[in-house]
Amino acid sequence: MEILKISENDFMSFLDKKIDEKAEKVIGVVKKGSHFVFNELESSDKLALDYDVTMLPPKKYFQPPKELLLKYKPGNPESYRAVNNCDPMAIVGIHYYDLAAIYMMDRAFSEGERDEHYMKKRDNSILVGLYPTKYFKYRFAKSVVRDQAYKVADLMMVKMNGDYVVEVVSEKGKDFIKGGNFIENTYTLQEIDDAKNKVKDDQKIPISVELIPDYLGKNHGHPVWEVFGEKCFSCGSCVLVCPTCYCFDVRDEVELNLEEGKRIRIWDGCMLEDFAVCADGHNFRKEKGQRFRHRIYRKGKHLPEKYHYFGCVGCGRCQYSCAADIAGPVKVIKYMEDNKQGGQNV
Amino acid sequence: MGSKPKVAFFDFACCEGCQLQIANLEEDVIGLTNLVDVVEFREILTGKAPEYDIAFIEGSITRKEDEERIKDIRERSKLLVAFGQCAVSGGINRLKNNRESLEDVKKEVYGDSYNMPHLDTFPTKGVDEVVKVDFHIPGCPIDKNEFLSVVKAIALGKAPSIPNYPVCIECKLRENECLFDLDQVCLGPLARAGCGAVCPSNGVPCDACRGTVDNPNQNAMHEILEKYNYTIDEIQRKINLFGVKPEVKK
Amino acid sequence: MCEDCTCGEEIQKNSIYLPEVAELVSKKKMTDIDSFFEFELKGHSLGHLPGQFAEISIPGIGEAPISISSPPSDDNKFEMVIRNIGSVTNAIHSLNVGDKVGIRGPFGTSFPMNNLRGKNLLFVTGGIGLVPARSAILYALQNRADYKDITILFGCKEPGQRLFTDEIEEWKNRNDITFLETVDTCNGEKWEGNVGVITTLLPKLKNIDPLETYAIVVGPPIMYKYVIMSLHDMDFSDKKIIVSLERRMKCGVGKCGHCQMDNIYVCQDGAVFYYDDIKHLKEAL
Repeated sequence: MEILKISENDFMSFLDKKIDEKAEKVIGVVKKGSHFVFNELESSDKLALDYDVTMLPPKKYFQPPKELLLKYKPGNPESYRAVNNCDPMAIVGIHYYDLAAIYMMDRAFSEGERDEHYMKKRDNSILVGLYPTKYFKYRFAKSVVRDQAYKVADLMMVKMNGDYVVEVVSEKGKDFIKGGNFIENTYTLQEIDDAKNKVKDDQKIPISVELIPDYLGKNHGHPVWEVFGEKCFSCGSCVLVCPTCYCFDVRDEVELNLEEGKRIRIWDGCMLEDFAVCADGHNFRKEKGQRFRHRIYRKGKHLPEKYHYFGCVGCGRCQYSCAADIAGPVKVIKYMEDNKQGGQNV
Repeated sequence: MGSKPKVAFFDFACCEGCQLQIANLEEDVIGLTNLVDVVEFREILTGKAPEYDIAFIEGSITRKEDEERIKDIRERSKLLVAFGQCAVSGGINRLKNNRESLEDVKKEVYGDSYNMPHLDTFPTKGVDEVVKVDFHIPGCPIDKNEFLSVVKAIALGKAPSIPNYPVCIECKLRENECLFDLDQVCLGPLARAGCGAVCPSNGVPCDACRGTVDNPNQNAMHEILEKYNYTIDEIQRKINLFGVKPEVKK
Repeated sequence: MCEDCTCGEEIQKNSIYLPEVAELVSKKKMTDIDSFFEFELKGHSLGHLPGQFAEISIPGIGEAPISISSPPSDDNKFEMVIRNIGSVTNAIHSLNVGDKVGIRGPFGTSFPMNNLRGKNLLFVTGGIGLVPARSAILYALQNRADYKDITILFGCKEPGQRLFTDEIEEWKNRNDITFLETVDTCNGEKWEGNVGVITTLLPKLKNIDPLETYAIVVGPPIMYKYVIMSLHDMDFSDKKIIVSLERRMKCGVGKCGHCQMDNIYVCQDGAVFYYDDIKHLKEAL
């Protein structure tokens, strides 16, 4: 893997050039109030790469919260047209845990029935990763993420003194940086490695992630589900902000003239009360505790068993956004560890 | 529906602000009138009709005459839609139900003339406490787009979809910072979404003007109270504002 | 190309959410809320197997997952029985012959009719569970020589909810199969048959050899537990019990998450399962 470097100033000029060229939308992290969000950049001025976490993960660009799937004339099935907006985009400054999440999303949408609405957006995107430069008190990514980031990143950046070291991960990444003042790297691998690991996580999953699927399987009857379920608002914040949650609902919307219609998909989540309700009204996950368990099982058992990676990337967004302060996997597993049930826990 | 449905608007105890939302639809008014035939709407036109395909009711029921009138409208309407929080739950008008004596309420409002016969009133009711309501459009005031989506759904013959998830969802979608983190008491975790989190997005905490979700977890409010150091009274006062039922108990 | 679409023709070719068109060719009322529908595709057959489902859609209203009730066929026609319980099914009920619908599918697993050859079949069906089961029943009857004893049990809430009543009369009169039915209550209607839940029919069966018989169980969620308990009493092993489970199938392609049951997407990995394969799942029954 080729390793280059670029000064911070040159990198900003490079981005401005990219923005002017308009070959793709350039998206980066910007400040919103006292926190950060991914947003399209009009110039590099607003770029805020020194960030802790963004409110929503970059999944919003590949699976938009409200995404057009089909257009039609209401009542006329012969008019169905599949539509998709897959304008090229480059997303700059994605932390490695969010890249790990994109890897998980890619597998979910490409394996089995291939979802071209998602995959075309991904195919036309360039992912520029960045090792975090700022501490976030809920983050525990180091204890759960392995090597996934490099499976999807096109470029990985490491902040050094006044420079970015840039690892060129893919051919697409190599093409993207043509024309920028990227020069030969002068930092040692040790220096780069130290910079990658400079920001520590305070939080950590208390048991090894490899053991968690089995651990959860043995704790299906643990009181944690009911105890935490009792405190849960079923507000869905945790799943909405989660970078590996991709569940959706499909709706039809029509214009006021009733002559133009759209089938759209919108974000949905298993923590919401009506998620598993069938047409006949039967709710297959009626209790809050059942829904709470399903979410943790999905991250800690079902996804790992399918994809061989832990389904949570440790971004800490769920814990941060949970009004009741119960959503974080670290908190859940800690509770289970502190309240072992008659030898049930491993 | 073959010909355009005949639609009428009525108001009971309310500020007529929800009807104003409809009058303010601007260019969509034309679209609306292409879709439905508005036969009665005191706020914008004169005229009356003997029966209606859809009656939209704004306002709460607070007098004997109101009960008789709403029953009559119901009998003459194929579908009846309660729109606006007054019609849905009694709304702000329901605040008086929390007082010990209605006589005192009347004295406070009308002074010496409180006993005049036309000021007779009973505890506030939502429309569905008196007649069958087919669909509810919550909110104080209603959301114009939600109103249009309900009209479209009825015109297409499908059930209108009113969200049964909390305002938190819409806040997160707009990437707002949580108002609890800015030291404000927000009812977002209990409140029914559909407004697009318009208040919190402008820094104003949610008052649940659209009521709560079907099964709000009012007990979980305790966790928040403790986390942010608020009292039950502070929360309950806010919940009571729009005639919403759940009680936060210790 | 429209302003919302920058993918052009490619997405039209490859979208897993794009329905094709089927025409309603016949329609018949079965109960107050259930009607029979026959649809026809243009130029090809649906290519389904017994027990699969499809997503039927009405543009402007939405999509709904519906079981296919006809047996596999080279014909371009297929059949469904649709209960009017939501906006989409209500819109389908108001269609006239000649009207068109969108269709995606077939989806899901099917009753393993090949593996069941040479065995006895015991169908235990409740309510609209008869609809997907009928696809397998008719297939077995079309290939009658391939299967040994065929027994069909059908139960529903009340006489007015009986489905396929003409076919049931035929099944009753055939001497190469056994058919028994029951209703939970008469509800004041004229009814001379069995009254009681579906499991009350099982003791009436004589000479069921649990080693040589497969039980195919399809019904409302509440039914499975009790039927399986009764089958266990009859010494059925879990490998000889086949179930078809209901869940909220929204996308049909294993993405949207609504039908998930433990780690399984019922729309893809089901809805038909060997009970033995799912009995360990906490969310199955």
